[in-house]
Amino acid sequence: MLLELESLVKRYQDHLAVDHLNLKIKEGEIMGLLGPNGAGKTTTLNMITGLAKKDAGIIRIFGEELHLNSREVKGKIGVVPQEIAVFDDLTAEENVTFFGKLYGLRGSLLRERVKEALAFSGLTGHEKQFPKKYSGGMKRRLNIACAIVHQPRLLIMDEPTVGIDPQSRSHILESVRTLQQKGTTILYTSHYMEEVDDLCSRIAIMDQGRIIAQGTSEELKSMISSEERIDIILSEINYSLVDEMKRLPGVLECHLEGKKLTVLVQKDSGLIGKISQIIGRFDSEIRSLQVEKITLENVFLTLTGKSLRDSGTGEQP
Amino acid sequence: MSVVTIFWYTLKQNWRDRSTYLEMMLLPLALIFILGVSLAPAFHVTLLPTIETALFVEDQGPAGAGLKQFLLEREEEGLLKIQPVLTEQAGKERVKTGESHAFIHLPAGDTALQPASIQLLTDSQNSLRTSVLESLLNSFVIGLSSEIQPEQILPRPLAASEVLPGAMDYYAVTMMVMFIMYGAIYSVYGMKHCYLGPVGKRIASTPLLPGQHYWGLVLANLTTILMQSVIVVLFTRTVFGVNWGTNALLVGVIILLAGLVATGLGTALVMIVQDETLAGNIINVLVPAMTFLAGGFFRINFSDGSWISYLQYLSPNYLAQTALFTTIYGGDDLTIMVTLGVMGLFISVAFLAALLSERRARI
Repeated sequence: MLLELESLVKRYQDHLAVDHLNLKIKEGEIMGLLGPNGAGKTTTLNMITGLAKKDAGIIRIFGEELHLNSREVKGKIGVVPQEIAVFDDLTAEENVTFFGKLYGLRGSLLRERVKEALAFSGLTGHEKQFPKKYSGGMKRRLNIACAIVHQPRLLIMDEPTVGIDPQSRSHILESVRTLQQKGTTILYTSHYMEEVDDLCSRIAIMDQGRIIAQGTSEELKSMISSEERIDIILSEINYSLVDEMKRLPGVLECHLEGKKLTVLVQKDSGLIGKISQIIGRFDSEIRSLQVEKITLENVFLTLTGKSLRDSGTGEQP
Repeated sequence: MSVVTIFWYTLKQNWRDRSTYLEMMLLPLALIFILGVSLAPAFHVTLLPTIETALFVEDQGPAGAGLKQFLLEREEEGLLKIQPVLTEQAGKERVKTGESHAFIHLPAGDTALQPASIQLLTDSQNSLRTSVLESLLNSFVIGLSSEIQPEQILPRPLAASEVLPGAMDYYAVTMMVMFIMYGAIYSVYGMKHCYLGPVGKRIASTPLLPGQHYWGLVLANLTTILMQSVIVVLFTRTVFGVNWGTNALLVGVIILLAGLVATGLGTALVMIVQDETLAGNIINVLVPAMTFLAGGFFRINFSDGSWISYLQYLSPNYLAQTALFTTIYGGDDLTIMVTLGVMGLFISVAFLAALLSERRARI
């Protein structure tokens, strides 16, 4: 395991921000961390990056306990904070060079890595400009360039795509995939459920300081639903077919409202073929058919009782 | 090496903040010029005219010899012109006819150790001359009454124009000190942004040690203040002809300590209140108040031993100004040592408070 959190605890006076949290991240995977406001995500990230002290538990990174060798461990971690954390009065190149130096890079290696990081972030040609002249998307990309200049083994990305244009978001997501392909392990938090669904190999959902569910996107979706809803728009109305549908093994419920037929079936029952045959027997045709997909948003809502976008993820201790 | 990285990149940013940098240099220069020119008459030193003094000493004892020596030394200083006369009548006559401004007569005493009283006759037309002569004779009598031999009488040095600051000299020191103290603003905003803010947190996630980060920032902010001060000193010396004395090293040390006080003050404030706007506002109130208390805007003479004279020692401006004036105009070393010592205490307390607050604020 590249990162292991065991019974991690963090208290702020009477408030238990992180409650015996357990999480494991394998080398080379993208782990998505989702949670409503105040779930303890940022506190957890702060403890991993050494910004907050844990009250109890173990943080093991690269097989070493963080508090025993924090400088060496920190040298192999890159952090993309939620806020843009670059100097406005230094050029993009100077910003990346500054962070490269803090990670111990010097001389020709430093220059080479700075060039690579800027190119990777799509900022070649803009390296001599000051970030205050940049668009929001360019600033976000510079924020990432500063975090990857030392080619970290573990990259922690806290909401890296907040408030940017689709083009920059697409660039950043593609960059994250490329980094993973190069072997970087990524811990990723985002407000955008579809980003996490699309990008992350595994997802952990946090609430009230604990991981309440984790697994692949499909595993999480299957946790909350054993049913599928099929909505069909018919060419002709025929109430007799409703009774016929209900007699099909695996159909849980069926009703017709105007020309819209709704059939509730057991998940993965494979009944669509039989349903269409019945409709044909009753001299009607299918104009449209839609199988309702369970989204990560549904999973999140079901598990936490909160909508992720409404709750926000920027909790502060 | 990481301290150097933090130092260098912070200094670069401070330097690139041109508007603040220029403001911190041009404002003191403008104030020095405006105050120096407009208040010059208040600092004008009137040179005393030489007082033509007839002298008749009948006393043959040590008092008589001492008085002659004392007055001859004042003649060498250009304060008096002694005209010995042979009789009391001749002395009085010279004053009556206007040949002398005053007549000093020491009659023979009863014994060698009991001299008679010194008699002073002036033309009464100029009270300044009269008061100068009275002061001189008083200081002589005080010395004599403590049974000091005439050759050991050491009159107090008198002020002359070349050892007193003019308006430009005075305000060059006080305004520079005021703007050194305003340099605390660099620490407030620098520390908030680069230590407590998002960039600071990001830096804290790197392998850099907190101490390297902290002292790199402190040194950069201190250097920014010192560079501005050096420019102000060189400019005022060259263009305004301000007297900065001959002991450049000691002046440099005092400026360095004043810069450390300002840096410590700003760092401590922002670490304690954790809010750059509030800390900045406190400094904007504190610095003019400290300058006022130190007599930085206009000279204030509080009587020695009064509570307000002790209160002045709480103003870093007063300490730095006193140390600078004493260095430039040749005062006693003890004053310099005391003021530098108190400044050292200020610096220690400020940085200790900043460090403790920083540790307390760490999550």
